[in-house]
This record gives sequence, C-alpha cells and structure tokens, in this order.
Amino acid sequence: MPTESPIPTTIADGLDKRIDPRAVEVQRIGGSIAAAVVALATLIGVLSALLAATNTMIQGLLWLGAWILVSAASGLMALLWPPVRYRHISYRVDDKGIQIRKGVWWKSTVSVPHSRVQHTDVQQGPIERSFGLATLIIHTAGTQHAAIPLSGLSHDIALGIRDHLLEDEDPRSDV
Amino acid sequence: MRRLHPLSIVFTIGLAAKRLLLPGLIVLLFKPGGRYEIWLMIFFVPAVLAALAKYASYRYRMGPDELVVREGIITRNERHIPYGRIQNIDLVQNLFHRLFGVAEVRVETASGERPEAVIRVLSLSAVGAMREHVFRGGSADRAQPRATAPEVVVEAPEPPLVKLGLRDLVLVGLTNHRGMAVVAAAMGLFWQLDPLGDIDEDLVQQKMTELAVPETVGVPGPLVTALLVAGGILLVLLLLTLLSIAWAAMRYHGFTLRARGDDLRSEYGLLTHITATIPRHRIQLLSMRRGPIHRWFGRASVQVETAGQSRGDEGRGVDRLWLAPMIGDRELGGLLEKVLPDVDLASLEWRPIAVRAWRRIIKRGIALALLISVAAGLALGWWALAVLLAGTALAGLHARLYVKYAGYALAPEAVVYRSGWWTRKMSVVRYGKIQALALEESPFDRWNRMASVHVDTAGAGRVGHGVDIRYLEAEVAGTMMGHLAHETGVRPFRW
Repeated sequence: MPTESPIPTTIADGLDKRIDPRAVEVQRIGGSIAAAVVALATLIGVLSALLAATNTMIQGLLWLGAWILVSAASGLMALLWPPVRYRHISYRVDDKGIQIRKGVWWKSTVSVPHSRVQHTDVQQGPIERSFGLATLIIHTAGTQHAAIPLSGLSHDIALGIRDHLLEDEDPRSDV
Repeated sequence: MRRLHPLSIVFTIGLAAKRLLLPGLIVLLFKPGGRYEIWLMIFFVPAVLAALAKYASYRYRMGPDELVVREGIITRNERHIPYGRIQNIDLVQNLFHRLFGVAEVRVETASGERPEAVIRVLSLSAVGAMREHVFRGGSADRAQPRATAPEVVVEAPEPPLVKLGLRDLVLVGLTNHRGMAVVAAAMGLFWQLDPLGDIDEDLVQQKMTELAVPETVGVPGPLVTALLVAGGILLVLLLLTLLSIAWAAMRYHGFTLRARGDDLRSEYGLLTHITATIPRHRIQLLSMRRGPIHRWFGRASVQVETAGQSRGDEGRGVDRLWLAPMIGDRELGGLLEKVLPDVDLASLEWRPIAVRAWRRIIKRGIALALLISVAAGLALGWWALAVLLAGTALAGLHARLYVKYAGYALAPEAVVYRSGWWTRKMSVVRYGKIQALALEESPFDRWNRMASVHVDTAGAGRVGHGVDIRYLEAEVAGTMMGHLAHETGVRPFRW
C-alpha cells in the first residue's frame, strides 16, 4: 500500500511483477550452449574410450545410444525449462525495499529492506546484452544472503531498481 | 613517532623460526632424507633480515584523532585509522611475551576481515597508553552513533559478569569436543613424519599374535574380542574427554567477562593470555546452548556473533565467539540484562511451530530406521526387526519432543527462536541487526501447507544455531515475514 510515491517512476509501485519475457529466450540460448558443450565433451570422451578399449559392436552401440539419450534429454530440458522457471519468478519493489520470489519446486521469497542494501551490481553477459537484458545483484551485509541475484530484467528496469534501492533513506524510516 | 619495543626483533625472528625452521628440524631429527621442509629453512635468512628491517622502519603515532602506522622500506605504507572507527584493541600475550612484559596488539575496525593493524610487540605500558588515548580521544565520536548510551564509563573494578572456576572449566571440556581436534592434529603430525615407516610389518604381526588372548582360556573367542573392543573404545573416549578438559582448562583458564562502558571485555588463557573487547553494539546474534550436562549442573553457554569477524579468528588467538563458555543459570539473567538491555528474555510470549509437523519428522525418522535395519539385516538376519522397532520408537519420541521444545517469540525489539530437546538452543536477533529475510517452501512444505522463515544477519555464521524457523504454518510464516520486514525496515542498520 504505497501511501505516497516519492519515486516518480513506476518501479516502486509495490506490485508483483514478472521479469522480462525475453529472459526465456536468453535462458534457452544459454542452456542450449551449455548442453551442447557438455554433449560434445562427453562425445569425445565416449569415442576415445571406445577406440582405446576393445569393444564388441553391441557395446559400442549401447554407449552411443546412451550418449544420444542423455544429450537429447538435456537439450530438451534447455528448451522446456526456461518458460516454467519464468512463470515462477517475480519481484516487488516498494518504498520499504525489495522482495524476490523464485523457485519451481523449492520456492523462496527473499525480502531485503531498503536500509539493508549495501550496494548493487548490474551485470550483462553477451547474450543478455544482445537482448537488452541485465542481472541485478543486491548485496547485503548478511551471511547466506550476502548477494541476491535477479536476472532477466530489462536493462532500464534493472538500472531503475538500482537507483531506487541506492536512494537516500526516506526520512520517515530514520528513528 | 614511536617505535616498537626492541624485543620485537626477537619475537619476529622467533615467529619466522617457528614457521620456517621448526618443520625442517623435526624432519631432520626424525626422518632423514630430502624433503621440502628442509628447503623451507633457506627462507629463514631473508626472514631475519625482514625482521630487522621491520623494526627499523616501523613507526606509529597517536595523533589528536587518529592512529597512524607507518611501515616498509621499499614500499612505504602509511595507514591512518581514525579513533572513532576503532572497534577493538585486543591483546595477545603468549608465554614468552609475558616473561618479558610485552604484548601483541591488534587494532580492529568494523571493515574487518582482518585486523587493521597488528602491532608486534609493545611494552604493556605503551599498550595502556595507546588504549587510553584511543578510547578517550575517540569517546565523543564513539558515543554518537549509539541509541542507548546513558551509561557512565566507570573504570572502577566492577564484579565480573562471568567468571569461570575450575568446575566450569571441566564442564567446558566435557561439552566441547576438543579432544577430537587434538587427536586429529596429532594424527596429522604422525602421518607427516611416518615414524613407523621403517618398521618390519611382519614382526609387528608376530608380536600381536603373541599378545593376543589365547583361546584355550575357556572363554569363547568372540566374546573376549567384543569385550576388548568395547574396553578399547571406552578407554579412547575417556582419553579424548581428558584431552578436551585439559584443552579447555588451558584455553579458558581464568576466564572473566566485565562490562566496560558500552563494551564487554573478556580475559582468559593460561599460556597465551588474551584480552579481547566485544563491543556490545556489534553483537549481531546471541545464542545459548543447554545440553544434558549443562542442565544437570544448572548451567548454559553463551556465544555471540560479531560483525566483521572472520572464520579464522579462533586460530589467530583472539576468540570473540564466547560470551560465557559456561555460566550458572542464576548469573545468566544478569549477563543477558547487561548484553541485551532492551530485550526482556524472562517474559517472552512463546509461540509454537506447527504441531502437525511431528508427523513429517516421524516419517523421516522411520525411513532412516528402515534403511539402517535393512543394512543391519544383512549382518544380523531377523534381529534387524528389533532395530527397526527401536528406531521407530526413537523416531516417535524425537518427533514429539522436537515439536514440544521448538518455538519462537516476537519481542518488542528482537526475534527469538529455540529448538532442540536434547541440546536445547536459543538464539536472539534484534530487529536492527537483521539484514535479509527469506521464506522458504520445499515441496514437502507446500504439500503440508508449511514454510520456514530464515533470518539472515551479518557475521561469519560460526555460531551453529541461528533464527531459522522450520515447520511453521504457511499463513503464520507469511504474517511473520511481513512483521519482521516491517520491524527491520523502520530501524536503520548500524555496525
């Protein structure tokens, strides 16, 4: 319930928001690349193992079959998982701080009050940059939640949240 | 500018000798043959030169409002530490330091993974002068950021808040399983030196067989073996306990904790004497433990977590973890009142966790019992059923007692959580020290409409117990998150 809005933008409106839908694509590309790299590495491993040891034809085919199965499964996961994940991430910014919800099976809601934000990072990887997305990392003085990442924000919104979180304490909260 | 005590040359060289010469000497004496420890000895020569250079170049000055430390010959470094930022001046005196009336001084600020300055070594009078200067010079600055500072700084010797007697030291040894650590260290050294490496193993085998109890005595062999094994285990446990007690008695000998204005000062140690300051406002989390031995003797132990303290602190001599390694129940109230004046722990309104949780806990216990009894079944046959029965009974007892003794309280200034029925633990975090909050739901939690709430604070997480409340009713957890977020948000954070 935002009683007054000291922030002119619509960032700190206290509403639950999804991250940018383009994050799904970014996740898929990243995931596919990772799956491909792992598949290639294991293929080299399997092939060299087959060449080195004396195997029957059937054993060799079994190994290759297993490789194809695992690689296909991981590739499929890389394509199907990001939309599921996307539906389970949301964040909320208000004048009190920020709250981030994450997790499909193991859900977590992390809440950081405005005054506990030590500093923030806005990071962009190469894939994120080409989509105009960014990852916001909120640093606190805590132990387990010393760095809280929120990826898949559009770059402008990430900067907006950062500016809002780093703004001076609102005078009411100073006891 | 002031210099270090001239003896610091001796101590710096001594430290280098311990690190560089000692391993090599041990290897030479006990295990001849080329090892890297011997090569290490070469570095002793530059270390001696460095010690001389350090003494020649090291200067410190106590200015009107800052401590200035200058050192280095090739790379000059001048560090300015404003008095207002200094949190602790800790003293470490090992046996040799005490012999010569000098001490190692560690100056810490809140930024601290490591001490801001380690001044090695100063005479005790120089230390006293520094302490006085820093805390008087900085007093105006230091008092300012504190909400609760009506106390007058009295240097008169108050009765200590905590004082450990011999009996307490023995209890610390009994509850603190340090014997294991001592044995591990000994094993490490043993393995490193491998003194048995050259012994003929066949000979050992032969001797062992000669010593073994002959079966002709008339007692069945397996029973004797079992008795011997049991006796051996008992003996080892006894030895470990004795080692633990010896360790505790040396480490915490003469432990006292006194209030000095806003700070708490602990002094302890038989061989290495340590004086450590625990600034009260830097306490992030306070945790109490009561195991069966504690309860039997009407005692508790109290740990705190302070900001900017690294995990390695214990190893480097100054341990700010313990507020009281052992304290009587009657003295505990007075200590807590002094440390957390704004939290009334005597009249907390305890609230339970979800009572239904016992069913989840018992299921896990039974699953574990099943696993163990299946494994036992391979060795014992049908006797494994008894294991399963006993395991299930134990799981039921555990589940019921866990739910009974777990609970939390939302005091006006702090959140308190207690858990455990065998070793009962209780942690207090003041709202002002909360950094982040997390509500966590596992698939099992959601199935049972439960959730856990985790309260994150600064500090290194060395205290084993924190405010990490599991098995809450989902709606209760949600409301609690809101409440905690509000209480935290309205309080500014100060180190």
